[in-house]
Amino acid sequence: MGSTLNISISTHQGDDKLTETVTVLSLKGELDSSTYKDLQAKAEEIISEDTKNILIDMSGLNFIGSAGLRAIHTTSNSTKEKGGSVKLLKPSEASQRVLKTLGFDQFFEVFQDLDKAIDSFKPVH
Amino acid sequence: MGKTTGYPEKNTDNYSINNRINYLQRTRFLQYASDSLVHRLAESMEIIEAPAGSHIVEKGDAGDTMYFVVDGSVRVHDDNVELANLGAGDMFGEIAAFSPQHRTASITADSDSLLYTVNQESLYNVLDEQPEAARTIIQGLCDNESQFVKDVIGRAVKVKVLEHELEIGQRIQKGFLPSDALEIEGWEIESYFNAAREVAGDFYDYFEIKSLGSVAIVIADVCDKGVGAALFMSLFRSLIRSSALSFDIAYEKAGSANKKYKTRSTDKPPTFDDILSYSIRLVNHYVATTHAKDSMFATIFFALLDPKTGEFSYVNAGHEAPCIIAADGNITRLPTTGPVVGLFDQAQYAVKSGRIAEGDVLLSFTDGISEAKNSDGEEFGDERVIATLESSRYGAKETVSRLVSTVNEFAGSAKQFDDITVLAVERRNLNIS
Repeated sequence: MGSTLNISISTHQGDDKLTETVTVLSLKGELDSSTYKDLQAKAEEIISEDTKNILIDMSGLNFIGSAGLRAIHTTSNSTKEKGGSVKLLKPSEASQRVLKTLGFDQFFEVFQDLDKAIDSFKPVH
Repeated sequence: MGKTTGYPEKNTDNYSINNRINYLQRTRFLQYASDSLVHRLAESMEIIEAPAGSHIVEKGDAGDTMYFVVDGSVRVHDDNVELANLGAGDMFGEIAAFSPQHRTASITADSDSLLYTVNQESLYNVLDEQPEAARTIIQGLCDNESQFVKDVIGRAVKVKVLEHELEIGQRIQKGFLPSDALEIEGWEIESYFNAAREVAGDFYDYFEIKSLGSVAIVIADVCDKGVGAALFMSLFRSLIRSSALSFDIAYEKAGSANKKYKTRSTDKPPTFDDILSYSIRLVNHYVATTHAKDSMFATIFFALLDPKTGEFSYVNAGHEAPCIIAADGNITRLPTTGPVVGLFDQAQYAVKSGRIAEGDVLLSFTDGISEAKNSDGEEFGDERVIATLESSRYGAKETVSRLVSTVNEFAGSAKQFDDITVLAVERRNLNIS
């Protein structure tokens, strides 16, 4: 009885022309100790292809465990090296609880709205 | 399974009879075969195209066909466990072609692959035409199988060596858990620890900081399981112990002259809060900077208890909220006061305080309890934890054993996925004898 994780990728550009390109990774299924490597591999692949702004859409996740959060942190480190960042979109109530308990909500921006999330990647001058 | 020498070689036309003959001539399986036998087999072969991700053989299915990988790569696996990778020149299923049997493993194409197949009927037809060829085939089959057995024995030896290493690791890790009960008048400490694998990422600890007259209580869960988590477990545990006990060493040095030692910055003796705050910040900073690339972290509940009064201070770094179970069954939770340890160097940890009254039990546990699953995939959950504890109102020993047996009953035959640790600290009610 293995868990599954589907990852779909889309790229977005905010309304404002100054806004940078953001790659959205939409996750579906479980992000746990048996699937976190899939996220890590996919993220590494797109970061090596010059992606630095990643928005992880968590709305399709029905479970996130500590291994999943570890993958998000690793991805965040890789984007930071390129001057970008990882932000989170629409975690379920249960995911939100996990983020809060482990203190990830203090170090990752969490959005409920896709457009606002995309716009937030605008470089600060 | 067998290997051919001299491969891989990209053929432009793998479908042509010449290429099929050329392929078969290079297999170990047919190394003793006559040209006419190879020719006949090449004629009777079928060719299958297996796109990446397609299942070629399913474990348990009846099979009477042998396969030769011509191009691409296929994976031999048992459910999610990968057993081998095969590429151009490799063969599998040869035994089934002689004596049909259920497949012992599944085979899935990793990339778009091309395979030649020979089924039992074709093989036996060819052997009926050329009975003298059976001998050469048996010889080739024996060579193949003897190589296979050698490989299996080689792997078994490696597994044995690894198992032995894990046993050593397990023994050493046990030494990282407190071995002796702490004898403190009026108090009882009970623990339960069950690793999901040979070695664990969970740990608990208790030790005295004599200069402060305090008892340190720790429960922690390092993310992930197995060897990686176990290595970090020993790091987290040692850093916490050594940072907290460094105050005792400072006391020993300063203590002989004047019984009370003082911190340099304030000229006051350190408080429980000072020690907790210093230790957790030090551990967090060390792991977050020295091991930043690993993204390894731990949830840690760390308390310093004054056994004379029952008062305690604590930090809860991302850990499941421990409970104080009062003698009347009332439960108070101790929620997080900061994020997990080891990831965020800028993390802030608040120190909070509480009191264990006579008859109360401070109970902490790891998520192996709350996230235990039954065979339907349903989680035990925090609510069931609380319901179990509310109905307990027993001492440390009984509370731990009831919680563990309730979780085990719930999980039933389902496999334990995570390490399980429970630690209970009871202040005995001295008025009841």
